[in-house]
Amino acid sequence: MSYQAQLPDIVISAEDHRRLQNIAEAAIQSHSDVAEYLQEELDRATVCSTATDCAPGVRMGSYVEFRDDKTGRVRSVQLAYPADADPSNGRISVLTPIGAALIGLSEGQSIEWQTRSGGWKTLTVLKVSDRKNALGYLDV
Amino acid sequence: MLPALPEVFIPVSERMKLNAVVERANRWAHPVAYFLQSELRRARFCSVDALPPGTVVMNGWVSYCVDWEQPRNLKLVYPRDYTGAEEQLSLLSPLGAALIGLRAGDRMPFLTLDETFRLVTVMDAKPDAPTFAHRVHDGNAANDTDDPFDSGPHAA
Repeated sequence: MSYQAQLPDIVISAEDHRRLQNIAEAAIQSHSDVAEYLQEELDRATVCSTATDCAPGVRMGSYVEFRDDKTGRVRSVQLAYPADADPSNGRISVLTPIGAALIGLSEGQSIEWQTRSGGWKTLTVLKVSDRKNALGYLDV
Repeated sequence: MLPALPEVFIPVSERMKLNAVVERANRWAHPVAYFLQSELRRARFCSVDALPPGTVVMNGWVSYCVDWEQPRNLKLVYPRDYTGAEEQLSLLSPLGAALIGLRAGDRMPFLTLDETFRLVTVMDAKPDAPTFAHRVHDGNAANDTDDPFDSGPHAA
C-alpha cells in the first residue's frame, strides 16, 4: 500500500459536515469501508462556519471537473447525497470512494483514493462550480 | 398568531411511490427526508377525482414564487426521474417537498439547505397532460403516464 504522504487540506461547511456525519453513521453497518473513509475525511477536515471565515471546497451539489492523473481522462460530476445519486446523469454519491475523496477539495488539489477493487488512483480537481440547481442543495 | 400551514392533498395512487422515496431517503440520511415525511404525514390522500383544482401533483407543472423573487414554472419529478434539466424540480429538495400537494394561492414556509427560512407562494399548478387526458376521457391513454418505477434498476 502506498498511502499519500501528505493528504490535501479539505474544507467543509458546518452544515455539510453535520449532514455527512449523519450519512456516515447511517451507512457504517451496511457500507463500512466507504463509511469509514468518509468518517476519516470528516475527522481531518477544516470545518468552516460564519465564525471561522473560510471558504469551503467541493460541497454537496457542487459540479466538479477532475482529472484521473494516471490515464489523463477528465470527468465532470455533481456530488450528490446517496439517495440522489444517479451515475448515468453524472450525479456521484458522496458515499463512494471517489465521492468521499472529492468532498472539501479546492481547485488544483490532488488526492489519492482507493478504488473498490483495492487499487490506488490519484485525481486532480480542475474546476469547481456551485451554480444554481433545481436539486435544491445550494439554492432554490 | 402564526397562520396555519396550508393543507396538503395527494392522489392516493401516488402513496406507495411517495412512501418508497421517504424510506430510501431515510435509509441514506438524506437532509430532506424528515421534512418530506412530515408533509406526507399531514397530507390528505384522496382519489384523483376528489383532488381540488390547482393542486401540485407529481410530474405536474407548478408556477411559484419564492419570497419576492421572479416567478418560475417547473415540473415536479421523482428523484429518480431527475436528470438535472433546468425545468425539473426534484421532490427530494426543500422546495419540492414544500410544494407537493399545495394549491394555487397557498403559501408555505420551508428551510433551505443553507438553513434560511423562505416562503413559497403557489401561483398555478397543472397536471401533466397525459395523466389528465386518461382521467377525463376513457382510460386509453393510461399507458402514456410516466411510471418512475419502470425505469429499471437504480444505483445507490
